[in-house]
Amino acid sequence: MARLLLARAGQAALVIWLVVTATFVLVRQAPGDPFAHLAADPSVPVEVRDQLRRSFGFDGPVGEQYLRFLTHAARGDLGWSVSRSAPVRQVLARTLPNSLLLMGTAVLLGFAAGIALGAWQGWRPDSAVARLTDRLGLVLLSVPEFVVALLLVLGPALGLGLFPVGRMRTEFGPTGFAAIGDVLHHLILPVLSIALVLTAVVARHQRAAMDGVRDREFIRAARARGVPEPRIFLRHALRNALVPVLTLTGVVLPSVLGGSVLVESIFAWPGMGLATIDAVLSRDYHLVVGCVLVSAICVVAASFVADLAVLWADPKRRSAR
Amino acid sequence: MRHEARPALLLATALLGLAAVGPLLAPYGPTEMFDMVAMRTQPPSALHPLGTDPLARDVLSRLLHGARTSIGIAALAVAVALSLGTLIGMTAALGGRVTEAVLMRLTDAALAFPRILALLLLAATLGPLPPVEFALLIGCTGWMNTARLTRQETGRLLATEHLRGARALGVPRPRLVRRHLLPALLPTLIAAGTIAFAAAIPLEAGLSFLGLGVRLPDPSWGNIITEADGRIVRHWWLVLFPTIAIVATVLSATLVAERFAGRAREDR
Amino acid sequence: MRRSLLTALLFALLASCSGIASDGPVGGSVIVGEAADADALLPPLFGSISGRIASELLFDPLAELSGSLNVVGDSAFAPRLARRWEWSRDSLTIRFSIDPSARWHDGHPVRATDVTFAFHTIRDSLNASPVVSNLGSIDSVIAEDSLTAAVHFSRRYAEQFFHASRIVPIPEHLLGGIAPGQALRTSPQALHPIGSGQFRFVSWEPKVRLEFAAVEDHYRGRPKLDRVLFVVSGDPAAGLAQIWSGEADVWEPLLPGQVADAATRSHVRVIAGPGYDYGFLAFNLRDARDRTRPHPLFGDRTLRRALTMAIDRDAVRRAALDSLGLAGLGPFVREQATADTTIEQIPFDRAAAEATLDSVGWSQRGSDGVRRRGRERLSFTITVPTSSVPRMRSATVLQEQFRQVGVEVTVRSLEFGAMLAEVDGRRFDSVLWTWRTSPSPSSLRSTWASTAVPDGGRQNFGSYENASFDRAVLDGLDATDLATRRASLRRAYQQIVDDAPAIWLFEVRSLAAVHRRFDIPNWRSDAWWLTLGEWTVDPAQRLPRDARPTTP
Repeated sequence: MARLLLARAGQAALVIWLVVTATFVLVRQAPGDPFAHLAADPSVPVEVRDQLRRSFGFDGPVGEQYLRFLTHAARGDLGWSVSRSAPVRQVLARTLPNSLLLMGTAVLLGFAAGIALGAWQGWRPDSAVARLTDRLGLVLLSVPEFVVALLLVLGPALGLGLFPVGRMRTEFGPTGFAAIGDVLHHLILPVLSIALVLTAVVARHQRAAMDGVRDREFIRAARARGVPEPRIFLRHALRNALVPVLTLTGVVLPSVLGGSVLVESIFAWPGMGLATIDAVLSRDYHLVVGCVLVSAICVVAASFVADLAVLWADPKRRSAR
Repeated sequence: MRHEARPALLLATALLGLAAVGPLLAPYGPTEMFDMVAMRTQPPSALHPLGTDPLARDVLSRLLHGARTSIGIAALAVAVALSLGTLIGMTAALGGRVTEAVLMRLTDAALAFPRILALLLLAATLGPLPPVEFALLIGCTGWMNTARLTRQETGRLLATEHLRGARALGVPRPRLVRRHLLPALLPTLIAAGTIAFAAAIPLEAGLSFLGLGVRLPDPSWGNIITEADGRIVRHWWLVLFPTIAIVATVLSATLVAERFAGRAREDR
Repeated sequence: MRRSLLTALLFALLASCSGIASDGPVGGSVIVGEAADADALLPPLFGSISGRIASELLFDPLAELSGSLNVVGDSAFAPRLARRWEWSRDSLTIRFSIDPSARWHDGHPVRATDVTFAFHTIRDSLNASPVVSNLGSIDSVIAEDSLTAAVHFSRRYAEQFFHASRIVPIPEHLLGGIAPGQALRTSPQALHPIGSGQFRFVSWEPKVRLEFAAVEDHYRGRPKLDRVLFVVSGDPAAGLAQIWSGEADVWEPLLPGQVADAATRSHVRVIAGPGYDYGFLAFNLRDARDRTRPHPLFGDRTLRRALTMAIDRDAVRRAALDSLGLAGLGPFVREQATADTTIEQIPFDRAAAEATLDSVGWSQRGSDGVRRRGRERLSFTITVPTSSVPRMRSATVLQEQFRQVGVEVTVRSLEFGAMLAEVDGRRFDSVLWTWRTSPSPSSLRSTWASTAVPDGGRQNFGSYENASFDRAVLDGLDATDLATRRASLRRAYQQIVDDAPAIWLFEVRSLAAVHRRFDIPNWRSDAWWLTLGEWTVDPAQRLPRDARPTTP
């Protein structure tokens, strides 16, 4: 087991190194540079941009820049973010928690609601409500996240004035405990934009899994033994139908990450998704690499955890390896 | 599930038909502009059943022309992704240990690169692309799941007695792939393809929303939403109709995918 | 509701007790929405408009334009850190006397050495100061005593004083020990600057928020507002939504298409003023592949004039800017003192355009309706940034209008960074561009004059070259009186309009959306933030966020 873990960790490191290197090279192929915006001002001489590129070390050959990046990165220094006037590490430390708050809440909510809804749909497939929610879920699952976000901004926020249209806090607003409530108030719409679609996806998988166990022998046996129905539902059916849905987490994370990029941009949520778009558009080389590094670590870690979970849940596969 | 599949198939056929003949049905040209003062962002009317956009163009016509662009892009992207994925997955499964390790680590790396970031980077590097090149781009960032699936399935198939026998008899590799592996993989691939198709449609829309999608003024469903000019409640028709088109397409693709996935499971 | 009424009453009481409400009530916060963030806060280092706003709030200059925006001589300037100034007899030196009551935000007095330090910081090429061209022909700056700074020029010219006023003092006692270049730009002193303006730095979370607070004991008096906060939303639509919902107070520039939305929000008013941006379709006069050769199409003046004639510029302007743009007249805006609205224009005449195109050989048409000359097709691309809605719309309308005279246009919409690279590298056929001018017409030198002119042609992307235009521009910029200046620049403008290196499409009016609770006595449309110190909030209309900050 320990050898297996070590091998996986080695593979993961290799994968992350590949991703970072590809990004490092790719972003420098894009036209422009971190100081290109100065070209739009007729009073700024071209030499100013050349000097800025030299000052920040973006002038040499890419190979040389890459070696310098590696030696600095080994010491934990990811470079300076030009567009955010701060060390990349500090930018990531500021934005990552905001993204985790948004995505974490959305994933928890999406899975909890999706599992509950799907399990119930699968258990009582012929009830009118189950059919209705099933259809609704299908439609919802087909709407792109950014359209959901746009509609939420247009309706509840701008139209009805029930929620703030963006950002994370009310400026010069409440302090202390009330500030937590304020953040939650700002959190609701962005979370819903991601969670609504996610709920539909999870519910669909959960319903299918439930379909598979509903008429199995151990359920009928339990019923014959006189086990009360709610207990059968929870202890026997749901428990067995849960495993395939839980393994979904690893698959879903990248798409949640992708959705959150657009959602953060629409709600001006100060997270890493927004930072990434910004960084790419403003050619903030070091920050692009930093953001991709963190995203890659998250994805690799998630799939690693998902693999472990499967290994742990499925003893047959453990011995087969 | 079956009761949903038939209307879904019908809808899917209708949408594919629309992509094929949609431009012929359009009342106006996709970039034809009407009176810039009187006809800008007009709500639906008899002459323009879905209204006009900020450049006084007919939304219905743009939507119908956009059907070909959006559905075409998604279809081509999926074709590229499936071919790449199958090629890589099968090579890994049939090749030696080193080939397999290299290819699968590459796949892992590609998977660890969040797709939207990869597309953002590539779109920024290459600039706005015409539809075909854009489709290739989406396809080249979406082959990884197919590759994994193909390797797994191929591995499973190679372990069956039938194929072990065939290999022992010295059936040449191309023939093995053509006659035995590909036909057996087909249902799985079709299911994976329709799922990928359902994912590619919103991806095109999302990238267009960020201004990194299909080159303007080519109409695509995403471009119509983007050109709606921000968050304006008064111009609801510019968001609503393309959204309905997207939802209908993704919905039918999802249902068809589930149908094929069900078949693939039954076949095993 | 009741709470805000109570706070309002409380404030009214406080204000009447303290007696500071002599000209307008003190207190209130303004939240300014922005799509981009400052790139730097120190005056020698900023290169973006957001950076300029922030640094001009934090730092006072020696003197500031006020009232008329005439940059010739010093008559339009009002004192700031310099209490007064005098010219030497040969007009090659200006002596500034620093206001003895002026203090840095840390309490240190402002000294003449802070002026010399600012000059050296801008001039040091290692610092890559984007404002270096503001130094003009300034030779040296010398601190003659602790409160007298002498600015020496190498020659006499019209904008001497304007250039001297752009040397914004920075605190030598804090920044003096820092190495130039990256070290200075990334130093805490540059990122949390101590300034001399009416607002002081409080905190900066880049691309999220930047907060300033009133300086209580400022030498020019305390500003009426307590706090100024900039909030950044990368997506302009997201930023604007915060204005409509009342979460932010100021948005500038507002696009014409958005004015109708402002009308539906009762708490927002739109402030319109003359603008400083002009938009045009620039032709590349040089071959994009081989820059030593003329462009196969646009090297020909007759063809450029014919293409200009084919365009209904009013329709383009309406599509781009509704009724809120003005017709483009040439490489200037009406608000500049040297503007001339009588320049003779190339008229819109589709028939004449077609006749001219026929006469220069583009007379056959293919089955696609595109004109041909032998096997060549009359076809070119328009490069345009996806980020600019007015420009995207202009491109689409231009494409349609060119099509009607048999000219095929492909629109190359590029993401802004990519577009800059192409334009900067002169790799384009034609480009939709806007230049932001200033009260001074001096940027003509870098944008339209040829490289033969000193400091000329750096941003002349289309490589327009005309010796008589160059001469007229130089004569105009060097003239020390406004009348001569106007006459020379008129010649230059007429020459460039006749040569048609670009189709002058529109002039953008400046529009801003502002929350109604503010009372704004004076709005400068080229730099609205400079009068923020005069803004007040009627105590009866205060919002919760206008409450006095509790922490100092």
